[in-house]
Amino acid sequence: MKAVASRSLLTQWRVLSHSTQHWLWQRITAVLLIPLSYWLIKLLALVFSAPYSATLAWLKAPVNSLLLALWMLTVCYHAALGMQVVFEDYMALPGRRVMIWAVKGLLFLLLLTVSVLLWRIVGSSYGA
Amino acid sequence: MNVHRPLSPHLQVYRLPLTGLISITHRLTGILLSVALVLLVYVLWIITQGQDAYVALQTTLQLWWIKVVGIGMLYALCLHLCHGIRHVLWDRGHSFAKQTLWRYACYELAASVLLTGLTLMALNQDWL
Repeated sequence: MKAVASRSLLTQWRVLSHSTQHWLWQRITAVLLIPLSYWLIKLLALVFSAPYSATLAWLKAPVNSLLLALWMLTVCYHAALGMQVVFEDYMALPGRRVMIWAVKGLLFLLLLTVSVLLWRIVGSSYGA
Repeated sequence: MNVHRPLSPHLQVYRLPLTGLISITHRLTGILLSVALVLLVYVLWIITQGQDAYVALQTTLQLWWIKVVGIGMLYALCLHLCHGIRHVLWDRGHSFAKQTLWRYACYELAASVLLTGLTLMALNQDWL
């Protein structure tokens, strides 16, 4: 039995409930993360075994730092949506919505930090 | 008004079937990976701190138990990814029959191990 095609979902953007939007964005960010994860793996591989100059050179190439930043944006959004559901499932206390916003705020701060760090790396003369 | 509604015991009570175990593992890996994001930001910060900090980080990363944790995190990512693909398949309405559920669960576990192995090999052989 085939489910309703998601194509019709996307054409009715404005009438989608919050939960449907949450569900949809979770899938969209997940699929985007499949190719974007390459930049995470590559960075970790470089940090693990490459000399400082090689890692810097890789990061300074605009395509790499840009896609790493995009990865970070997508992963923070995906994690925010996921953590929201975790709190909604297991936390039945009045402070739950505050906790959810706190976690989302923390993820946003991480995203901001990464953006600033990448900006500094790209515009710097480290390892010159 | 006290809105504390206690959660009825679930994970600590039921012996879950394979699909249920994988489901909660998917959630667990999601949470673990979200926490690991903080470490990633730390790594990027180290890169902006110059050669000496970078070399010190690399030395720490060569410790055997750090490598074990690293491989564990890579496996967590692959597990999360493979189960995520299954979620998208379910969204399209596929593989809900009982037999296919179990079969796809095994495919998924095999795929995650394969993916982890492939990634490690690619990193070793510098394919990336």
